[in-house]
Amino acid sequence: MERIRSSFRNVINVIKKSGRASTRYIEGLVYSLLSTLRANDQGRFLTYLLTFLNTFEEKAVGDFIKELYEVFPLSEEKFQQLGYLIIMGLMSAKGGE
Amino acid sequence: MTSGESFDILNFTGNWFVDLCILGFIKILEEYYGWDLEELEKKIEEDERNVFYDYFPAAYIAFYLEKEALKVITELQRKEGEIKRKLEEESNRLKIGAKKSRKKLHQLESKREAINRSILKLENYILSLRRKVSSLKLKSMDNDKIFEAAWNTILEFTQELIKVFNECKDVSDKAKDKLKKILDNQGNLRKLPIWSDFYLNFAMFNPNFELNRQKEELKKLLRGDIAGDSEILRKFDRTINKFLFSQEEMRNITYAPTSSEPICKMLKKYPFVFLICFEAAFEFFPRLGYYVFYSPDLSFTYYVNRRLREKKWAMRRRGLLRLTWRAVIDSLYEHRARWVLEDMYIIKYGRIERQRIEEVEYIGLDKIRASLILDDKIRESLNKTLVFERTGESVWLIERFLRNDELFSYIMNYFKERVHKGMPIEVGRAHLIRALATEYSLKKTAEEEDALFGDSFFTYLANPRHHIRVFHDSLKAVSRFIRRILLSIGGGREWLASLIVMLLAPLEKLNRNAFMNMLLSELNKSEETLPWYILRRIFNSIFVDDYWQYYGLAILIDIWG
Repeated sequence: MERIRSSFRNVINVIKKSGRASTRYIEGLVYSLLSTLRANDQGRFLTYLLTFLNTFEEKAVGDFIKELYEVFPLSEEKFQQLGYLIIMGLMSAKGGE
Repeated sequence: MTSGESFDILNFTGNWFVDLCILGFIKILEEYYGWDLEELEKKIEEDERNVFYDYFPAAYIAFYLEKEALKVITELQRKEGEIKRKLEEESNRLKIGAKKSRKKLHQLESKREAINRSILKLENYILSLRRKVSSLKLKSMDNDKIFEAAWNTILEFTQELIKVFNECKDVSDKAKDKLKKILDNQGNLRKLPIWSDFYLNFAMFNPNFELNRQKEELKKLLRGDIAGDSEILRKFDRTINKFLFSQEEMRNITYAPTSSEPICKMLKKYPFVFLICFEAAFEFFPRLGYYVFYSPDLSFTYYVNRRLREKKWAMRRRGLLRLTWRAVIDSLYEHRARWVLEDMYIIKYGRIERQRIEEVEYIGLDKIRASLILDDKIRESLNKTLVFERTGESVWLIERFLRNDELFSYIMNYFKERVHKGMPIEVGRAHLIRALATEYSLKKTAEEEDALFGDSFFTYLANPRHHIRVFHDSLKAVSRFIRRILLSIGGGREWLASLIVMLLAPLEKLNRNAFMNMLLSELNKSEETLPWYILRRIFNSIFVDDYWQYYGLAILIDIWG
């Protein structure tokens, strides 16, 4: 979990720097991710997240996805922890740098 | 004698039964001579013989004489109440024109006056009894002479009580029967008119023993002579302590018959003087029964009980526990007796029926919780009463806290009611948050691995405020931020109320996923960039912490304001 956390931090930095994701877009994404978390739907969560991350070409994003691939599927509790961590990260990336 | 010895006489032993005996002794002497604990210690130091041979027996018997008089007064008062009710009925009837009522009214009024006169007489008797006892002079005579003088005073009181009883016309048959028992055919005094349900077998109270025998018994008792007729005192059973079984019921041959010797060892001087005072330690509370507060520290116990006694009449039904707590907390605050908090008990019994005690209750008090309230800030925050408007119920936080009740649910319900009605928190949100923080920190400490025997237990006790401060600080940063964001999204107080009500539902069910989901989707509506360190704090306090509900509720309370 710690490792994912730190590599996710790098992803957030990439998102912030690129400035490609609009505030509106991230808001929508966060909203969708929250609804999948509420329903404990890990498949849909990954679909939304990967669709978004797929638009970035940086290495940090690739590393993060690799690590995600290793840990999924998760128990409900772990999924919630990771899920909220990711959502909060995205929320903090709103508005770019 | 030296002061060391007086300290030996009035010193708690750690055995609650024996200690309450000592407390009873102090209470009796205080009642009649007005000496508080320090003064009594000084008196014993100055002249021990006088205290035990003169002051004590006179006060002891006066105590029981007064009890008899009080019993009759209560009975008369009840009768008077009945007549008052009848009087009202009749006067109502008179208003609608019933002619017979006028005559009846007269009869009732004269009856009522007679009863009131009797009550007044008895009350005057008690007053004069107290005056006489308190004006007893110190006499430097030998033990026997001192005792004789005391005995004569006792007889004087007794004669007077009988006279007053005879004058009172409305005394019940029961009381009259009792009078008949104590007078012989020629109308002379046969025995002392004192009864005790607690010590029925002691010669002093035994209805079959005559006056001289009672006198001898009292003398022996004062001397601590357990030989001869005082054989009853040799056994340690129900005769001495109603909370025990009787010798016959104690079937265990190895241990029974238990003798009262070990107790006499604990009470080195005048053991039986103290033993017969046990009953006096208890205070009677109308409708609730007999009640005493106990802790292993003499002066602390003494002050709490005295405060209880002083406030006795200000008490309403069911307020007894609250009253005790106020007394305990006040005394604690004044005397700062931290170590005393190790054990505190409230001992209560309903009544003695056929020498059996009914409804005995012991209530133990938790040390950690009690010591927490020594902290000024914590006490101030907990010393709040939450009034539930819907039910009219009021909850005093400090009392619930000390009784190991969970404050969380009370605060939750109170807060919910406030939000529903759109009202601000009357007692102040800072106090509620601190109360939550206190309970939270207690739970966290209990969770630690070495909670019981390790260092954390003591470090916690040494500095409970530190933990509470940590909770407070991390909360403030988060809640202020959330409040600002929510207010920037828009919507007035009504909108905020509906949002909080929505968030309270998952909090009540302890569903952290739903709580977090709702909170984040609200925050997501803001266009502002949310700083990562704040979000991480929210995550840590809600997702990493097992007692996240305290944070959750505290955040909501702080937002509502």
